Amino acid sequence: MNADFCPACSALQPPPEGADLFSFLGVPFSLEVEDGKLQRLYHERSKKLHPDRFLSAGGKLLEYSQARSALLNKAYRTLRDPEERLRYLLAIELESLGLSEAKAAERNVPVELAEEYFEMQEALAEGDQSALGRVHARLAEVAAENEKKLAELRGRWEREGLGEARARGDKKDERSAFARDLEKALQLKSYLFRMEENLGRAAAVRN
Amino acid sequence: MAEVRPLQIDVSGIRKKAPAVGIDLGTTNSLVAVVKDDIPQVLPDEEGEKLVPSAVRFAEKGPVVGRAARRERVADPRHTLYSVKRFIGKGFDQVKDLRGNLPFEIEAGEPGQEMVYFRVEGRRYNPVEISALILSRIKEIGTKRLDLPVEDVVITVPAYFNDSQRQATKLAGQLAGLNVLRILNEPTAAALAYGLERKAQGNVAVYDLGGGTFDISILHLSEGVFEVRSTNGDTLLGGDDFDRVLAQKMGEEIKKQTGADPWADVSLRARLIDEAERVKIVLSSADEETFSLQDSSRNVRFTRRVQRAELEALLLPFVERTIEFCKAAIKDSGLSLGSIKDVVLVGGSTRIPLVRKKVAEYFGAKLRHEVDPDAAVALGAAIQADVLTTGREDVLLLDVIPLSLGIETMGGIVEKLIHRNTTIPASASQIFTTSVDGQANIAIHVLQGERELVKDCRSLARFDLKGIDPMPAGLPRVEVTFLVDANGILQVRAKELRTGKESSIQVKPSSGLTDEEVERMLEESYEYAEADVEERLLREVKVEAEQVIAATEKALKRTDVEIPADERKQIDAAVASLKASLSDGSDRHKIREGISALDGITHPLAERIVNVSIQQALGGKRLEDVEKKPLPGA
Repeated sequence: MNADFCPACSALQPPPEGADLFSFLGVPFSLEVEDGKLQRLYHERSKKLHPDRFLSAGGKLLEYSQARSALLNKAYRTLRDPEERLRYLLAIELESLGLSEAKAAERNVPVELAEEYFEMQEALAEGDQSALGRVHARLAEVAAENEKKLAELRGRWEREGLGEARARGDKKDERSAFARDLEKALQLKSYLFRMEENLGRAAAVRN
Repeated sequence: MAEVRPLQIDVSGIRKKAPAVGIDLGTTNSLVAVVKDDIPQVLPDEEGEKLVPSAVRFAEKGPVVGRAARRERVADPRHTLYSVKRFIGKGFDQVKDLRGNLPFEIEAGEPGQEMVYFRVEGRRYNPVEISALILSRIKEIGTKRLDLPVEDVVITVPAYFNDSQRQATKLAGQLAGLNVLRILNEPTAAALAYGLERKAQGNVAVYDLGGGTFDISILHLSEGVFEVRSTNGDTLLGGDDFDRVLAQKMGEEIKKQTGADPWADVSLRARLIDEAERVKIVLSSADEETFSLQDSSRNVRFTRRVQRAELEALLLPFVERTIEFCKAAIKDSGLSLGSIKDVVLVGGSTRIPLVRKKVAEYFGAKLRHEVDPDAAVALGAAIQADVLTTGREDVLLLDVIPLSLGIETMGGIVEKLIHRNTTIPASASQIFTTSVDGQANIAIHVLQGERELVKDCRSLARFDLKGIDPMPAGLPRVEVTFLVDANGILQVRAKELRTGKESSIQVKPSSGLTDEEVERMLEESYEYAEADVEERLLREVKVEAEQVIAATEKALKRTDVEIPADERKQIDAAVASLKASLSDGSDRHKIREGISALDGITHPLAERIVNVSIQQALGGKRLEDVEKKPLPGA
């Protein structure tokens, strides 16, 4: 899928349609970021694909090199960051498993946080400093638990060989279950982030 | 818009031209450099000077650029423009605060137009035109030194320049008759000059404080790859501000003495700024210097000792601001402050001891100023020009977009599509649809900046997706792809996904100029060309005609290609006709027509020759033996 150049005529090819970033970069569907290897891949490929190399050729070739370089840049930026890599993997898993994103849940308060949420609202309304402090501490606990959960999920992906399964296109049930668990943990993480932001804003306003 | 092309007819491979050069188009000074025998070097002017002051004086005989103009800055402030780079690609609102602090006048463009103008003797000039004049002078210096016409160039801009400022700079190059291969970020260029010379590896910061702009870039260097991780800066912060604050302080003291405000007098203001600059420079190496302004006609007799510490107190707020930008860049780079090994100092203002002290304090890293801070950017640009034209593969720059790109959504909010510090080229796609049944157009507004609201970002382009087939609301799916190219300039493309039809979109360039203005400027740029343009075009078309005739006659001599008798007759007639208009020799349009006619008639023959050549090549012969085709750029 990442044949940048035609094997027969060695001409630069148009960018692939609908390729995922793992395949485009030529790395396995793993959650482990191998920083040095990734950078080496990226640099070697950039040296061949960058529009600097196709400026005098111009025309279609320059266009292809721009499109392929843009894709390569995006792949590297996404896959070298552990969290972005995880979120990206979730997105392509949901898509290829035909699962729709649980959008509605994102807006609702997660069950784990319902109590904290109402306590926060109340504390904000009353300007109760010590209550806000308690909420903050509780959120930190939930966040730590969630990080543990995410670490477990990373381990599970590798241990159960789900990356290889994805490449083969099997173990659909296990992968679906995994995707749902991962989605839940990542949504909780986003929600925690937003609540912390609100708390931070409230603190900034008071000061 | 009108398609803007360099004035030359492209006959690359036929006409001899100079190797591609790098140009540092600076706020205060400009330089040109070239790679010769693998070594980048600055090309000095006729008097051996490397720095060309970026000043233009409108003398009676016409515009004068460089030192001659800079000298008159004080004597003739109303006709002398300088620091024009601070205005390029900007709207009046963004720079109006500078008004009254400059010894020349600036004014707004038409309502809604993002452009600043200078008024000189009742005529308006825009920053693009003035920059084009400076570039023409640079081109002249390069052409004289290299003994061949300079055409292909890499021009540098501050990394923090937005799309409009880049577009405007590119346009200035085109107006000067240059083929702008690349708009390159100044700190990246400096890193290239520094990194190649020292074969540096690892994380490096480039702190670039020039006459008018400040940039900080954080790079990772690894085996010839220069990867920019983040950049930040301010396009209105530089040595000019240092001169201004010192000049203003001295002006206030003069006012106390004489009762008259020297700042209100254009001539005195110019002299105050000039003297402030001189004193500032001396204080980089001395502890004390005398500030002096004498003008008997205005009853000004002012002499005052200035201590370095006093100047530093005035500069401190500016220097501290640069450190804030450094902090932001480090944060965005994802690298730790401690991992930065070297800080490369670029720009004349990094000679100021206070600047060096504060930068060293913040980074805690080694300060590098081995490469001349005035020349580093031009040298790096020359290296990139060499990379782009000679096929050398030992170097690759991976730069970033300095400011986020987004589109306007409901309620005047900007939705970001490409975030700042994303490696370029970068692309993002977004799908748009209609909100009314049968709607044929969708209006899209592209903006650049970090703020949330449309009114706080720079408007880059407004365009319509046109010709959408009539469908119920929400049914059309138009995919718009935004591509930021290696120049940091936006390109937009749109496709209707249901029909696969490419939508016709017109993206207005964001240089702030109207179509009419660009056309007028192109026409007027003829006025300033060193040689008579008509003459040059005629010469070029004659060379091309001779080449075409020679190639045709060579082809006619071939024995391996069949040429039917009546085709042969037609070709002979076309050649004879072209030769006749050549020997007549004055009407370039007629010669051009002759070339086109001959091209058309020989087209079938050319195709047959290519076919034969391929067959011969497949038959074991080398293609080069069969037909020698000039390589582009060879």
